Amino acid sequence: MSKMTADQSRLEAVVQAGIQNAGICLDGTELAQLKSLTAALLDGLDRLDRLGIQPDQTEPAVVLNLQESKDSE
Amino acid sequence: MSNGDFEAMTIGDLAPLIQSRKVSPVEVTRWHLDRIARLNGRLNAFLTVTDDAAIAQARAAEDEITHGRYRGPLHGVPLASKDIIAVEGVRMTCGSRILADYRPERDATVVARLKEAGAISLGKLHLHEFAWGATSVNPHFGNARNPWNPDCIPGGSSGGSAIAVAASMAMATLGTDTGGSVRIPASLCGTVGLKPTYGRISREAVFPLCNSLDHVGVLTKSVKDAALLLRAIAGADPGDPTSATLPVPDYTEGLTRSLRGIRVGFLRAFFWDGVRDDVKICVETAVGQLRDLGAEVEDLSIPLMDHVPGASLAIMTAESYAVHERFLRERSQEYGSDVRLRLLMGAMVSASQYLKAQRFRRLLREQTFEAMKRFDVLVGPTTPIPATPIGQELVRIEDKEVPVPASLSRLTRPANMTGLPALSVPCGFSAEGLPVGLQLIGRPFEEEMVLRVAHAYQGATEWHRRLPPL
Repeated sequence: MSKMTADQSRLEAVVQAGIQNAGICLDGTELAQLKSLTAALLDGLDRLDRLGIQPDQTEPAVVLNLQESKDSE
Repeated sequence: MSNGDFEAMTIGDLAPLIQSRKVSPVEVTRWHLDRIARLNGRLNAFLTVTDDAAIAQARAAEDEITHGRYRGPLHGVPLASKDIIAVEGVRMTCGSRILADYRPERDATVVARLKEAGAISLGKLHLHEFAWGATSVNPHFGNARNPWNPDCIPGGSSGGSAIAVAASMAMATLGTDTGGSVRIPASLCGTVGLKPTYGRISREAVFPLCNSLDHVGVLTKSVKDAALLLRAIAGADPGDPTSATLPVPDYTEGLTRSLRGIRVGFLRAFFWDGVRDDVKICVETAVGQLRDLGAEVEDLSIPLMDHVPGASLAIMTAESYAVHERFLRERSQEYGSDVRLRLLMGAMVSASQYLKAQRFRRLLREQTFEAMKRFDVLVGPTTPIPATPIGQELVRIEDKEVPVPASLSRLTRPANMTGLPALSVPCGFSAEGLPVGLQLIGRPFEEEMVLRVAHAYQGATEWHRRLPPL
């Protein structure tokens, strides 16, 4: 499979899964626009991926800041 | 008083006249309501005008002032809010058919604080549907139009907020800013637009677009007016857990201090690529004027900025999809096509991709804060282009065609991703005679420095005094 074909297949798969997940219907024009927008979105995400950002141990603390709750008691 | 006098007047000019009873709040409110009646058909800045309530508020303000109960510089001053900020009993559409009949039962905290300061509410202002767009082109309520050229967009999403200030239909307005929605229209319409630090202003009862990027901001005729409004609405709010508990300073106090020795970082690289030549000339001239005022200017680039558009888009789409998921499933056809597709993009972002984009923000913040240790304020263009004709989808810059919304928000998104305070101030006009904005970005909770530099710049220039030909 050529690279272009792999990219196209991935885009198709992502868009179809997204539409199914959202549970809505689009006409042909909107579907083409959505694919174009999603291609740009995936390009940006791929570039982020290449930065190799590692998971951050502080992430759970942002959501689950129990210390802060304790302090405010 | 002649009719032209309020047009050029700032809140800083008007407040002492109201306090000394040389101008009545009823007179100034009526003048603005007449102006709205005359211009709104052409510019479409207001979605709802609350004439009777405004006059009643103005009479109450006049009565208080007459009896010696002057509340401060916003007392009796007519203002208006973007139609995504709740005002008790007043229709709040968010620029969408979906909420066309929604009437909030109470005021947003920011609105309550303005009322407490004695301000008059003129009504609700036009916007891009659900604030998800930078043009204020709107299929439900008609397109908002730029006062400098009604065939052009005013920018967005707070388009009506900028039009109302630029066209003197309100003394100042409230907007919201998730990727530049206060600063973009301020730049395109030639007003001041301030997005403070994330957490500085409560977002309680403001319809969310993307909670981790949303800010409330102000649009004004002068930097001093922005300082006055910020002082009135900033501060902790139990209704918004993200609001900061830091004390709110008097932002007007340090405004007139000299810029001698102030260190200014001139943003290049990401902030200079894809910028139109006439915008570059305006910004370079403005930076030269800051140097003449005593600032020490040095070029600066922040390499991670190149990834801001991608990461910001992933976060905005994912979070806004979460807000709209039910509406999208049940009433998808009631959205405008552009917003429906932007929201739907959120369904394409995986949890792991969203988390990576949020992790990227931490790195971006670290790199930006490190760079800012050497500077008091960073400057660059607010938008790479001036206002474009309504309906134009692409713009050509440096032999590349770029979608207009992507170009408009390219340079404003970084301050949302980092949460830093940022302000747009008029700094010239494009080849077509449309306003150009200079963006100033400060350290967290150092709005005073951003305001001080912008105020000094306005003191040395006349751009903010020019009025659109209406």
